[in-house]
Amino acid sequence: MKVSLYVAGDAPTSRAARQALEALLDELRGVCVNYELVDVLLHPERALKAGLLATPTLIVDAGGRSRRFVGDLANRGDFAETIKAFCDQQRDATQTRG
Amino acid sequence: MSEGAHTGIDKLPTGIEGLDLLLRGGLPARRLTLLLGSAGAGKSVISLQTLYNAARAGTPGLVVCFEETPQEILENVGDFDWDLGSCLDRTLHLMEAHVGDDFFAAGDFDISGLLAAVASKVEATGARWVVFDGLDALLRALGGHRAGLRELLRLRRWIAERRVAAIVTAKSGEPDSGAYGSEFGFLPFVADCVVRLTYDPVEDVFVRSIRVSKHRGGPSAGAQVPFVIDGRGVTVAYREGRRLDHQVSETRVSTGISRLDHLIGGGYLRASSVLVSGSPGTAKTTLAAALAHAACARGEKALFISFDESGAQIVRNMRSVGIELDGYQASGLLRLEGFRAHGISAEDHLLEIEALIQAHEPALLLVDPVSALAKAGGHRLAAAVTERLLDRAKSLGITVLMTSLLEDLAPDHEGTASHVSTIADTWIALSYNVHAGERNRALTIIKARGTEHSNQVRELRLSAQGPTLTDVYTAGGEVLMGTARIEREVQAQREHQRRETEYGAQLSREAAEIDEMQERIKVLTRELEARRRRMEAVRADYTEHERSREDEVSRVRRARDADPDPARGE
Repeated sequence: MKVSLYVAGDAPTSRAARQALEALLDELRGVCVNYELVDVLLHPERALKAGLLATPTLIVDAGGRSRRFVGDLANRGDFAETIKAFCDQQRDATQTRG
Repeated sequence: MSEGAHTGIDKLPTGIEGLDLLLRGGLPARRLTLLLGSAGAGKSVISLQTLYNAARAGTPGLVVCFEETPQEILENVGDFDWDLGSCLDRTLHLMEAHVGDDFFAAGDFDISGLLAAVASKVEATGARWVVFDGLDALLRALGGHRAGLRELLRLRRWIAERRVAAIVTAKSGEPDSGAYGSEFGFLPFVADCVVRLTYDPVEDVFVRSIRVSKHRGGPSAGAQVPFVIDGRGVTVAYREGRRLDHQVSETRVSTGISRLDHLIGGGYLRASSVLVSGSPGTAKTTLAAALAHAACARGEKALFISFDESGAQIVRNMRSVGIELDGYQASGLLRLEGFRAHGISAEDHLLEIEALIQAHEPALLLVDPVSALAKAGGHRLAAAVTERLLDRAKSLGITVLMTSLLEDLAPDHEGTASHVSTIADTWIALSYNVHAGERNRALTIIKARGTEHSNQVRELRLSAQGPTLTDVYTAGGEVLMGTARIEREVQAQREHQRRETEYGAQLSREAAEIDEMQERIKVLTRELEARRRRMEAVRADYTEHERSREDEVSRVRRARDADPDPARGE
């Protein structure tokens, strides 16, 4: 599972989103999550490629299924649930194979 | 690019006919222009056409699509005769910023990400124009009014920094409902230039119009001006100061009525426009058909658009006045198309007529009557559409004859409702002359540009031999036609004959008097001679008498031998 957070420099909303996401990732201890932080002000071509409308945007991509969360992630519920659910599915799949 | 003459604010031309005039040169460069309008009003078309025009001229532009995908946007303008392929991905770029289904709002955000992406694209392409098409979709996704305003200000700042001309299009609600005001009412305040498009029903069809409601740092006309979308895209019907540079022709084409040809210097000028106005039944269609017939007889193609009658009806009716069209229709030289005037916008008619022109490539176009266009969405639109049609025809070298119905039957009412009469090069007015319970058709040439023409009213007569003109009979300041003309002509003939007889009688009377007098002179001369002779005779007698008396005296004296009498001088 790939988790990409697109931020616009050190803007307040970007900073808030980054804090919220990284707090969750800490809880998950980095298990099964490939995390990438993209600053669109430094890498606008990445924003272009991702078809980005707003910052901050969190893109959760798990094998073809993807979700976008736009905003400062102040409401932790939705994105945390999604990431956890994707994580669980991935773990189940790994265990079945193992 | 043209400099704003009045303000020093740089303008970038849109390249759209009429719109640049309305905007006094174009849209402000390095500023934000807001294009507001209801769904289907033509916002995307105008912005895309502007960028297409710029792109063809070598100025790159970028369209950021929020509401539709780039593919959908290209499909929307796919029917226009634009050569998008020549500039797509070279000087015209489309960028998707679609607010997709996988978009979850998760708190507060801003559009710096988007702007960073657009900025990199602007840098890569060198775009000087950026269109944010359907920005309201993004603002709606942003949620609150405050966030929307904040982001729009961010966008405006970004535009100023990037030094690009930006067009933001957004849907507006109904103009009077105030619905838009409550949602994104701040939009016009943030923009430097606001252009509003409306697409409203006028007399049962939808009519497009455009208005510049804000133009910071520059004058604007402020008028609500109709515009049309046809095969070439948008044209704004704004004429002021418009330059006309059509090729002019000196060639004449026959009107199909030889006496009318004679009146206007040999015929209508090729590629000129002719307006034939008149009340119902004044033979407007006949004049059109005569011209069509003459064109086909020369082997030229003609396109006859009829709003009143079907093609078959026209062929039949014209046969009765000696104009045979069916042969030319069968050979394909003449194309007759019957249109229904009601319920279809004048703009749609224009599209159809343009398509027919393209397909048939006529040398002559007849629109009968052009006033039917006014039924389809009001006079202003009709005038705009007519002008557009004439413009198109002129540029293709097509001669145009339009007829126009006069609703007002007052004889001195020669002005048509639409301003077609001012655009047309030649204006022929047909009217009825009512006299002594009879109506007769009268033809007047009101104007004929570049042509010497008669100012005389002529009578237009229709017969199985075709239409022809007759000199009218003027008497005592009265113009007479028809039976009245004939009556008056007969009356004059009689008067003439009566006078002739009278003179004859008078002459012979005088001659007789002179003869008589001469006879009398002869008699008197003879009498005079006789008198003279008698007088001579008397004188001779007298002389004889005198001499004989003297002889007698001498004889007596000699006989008496008397001495001479000194008293008597002897």
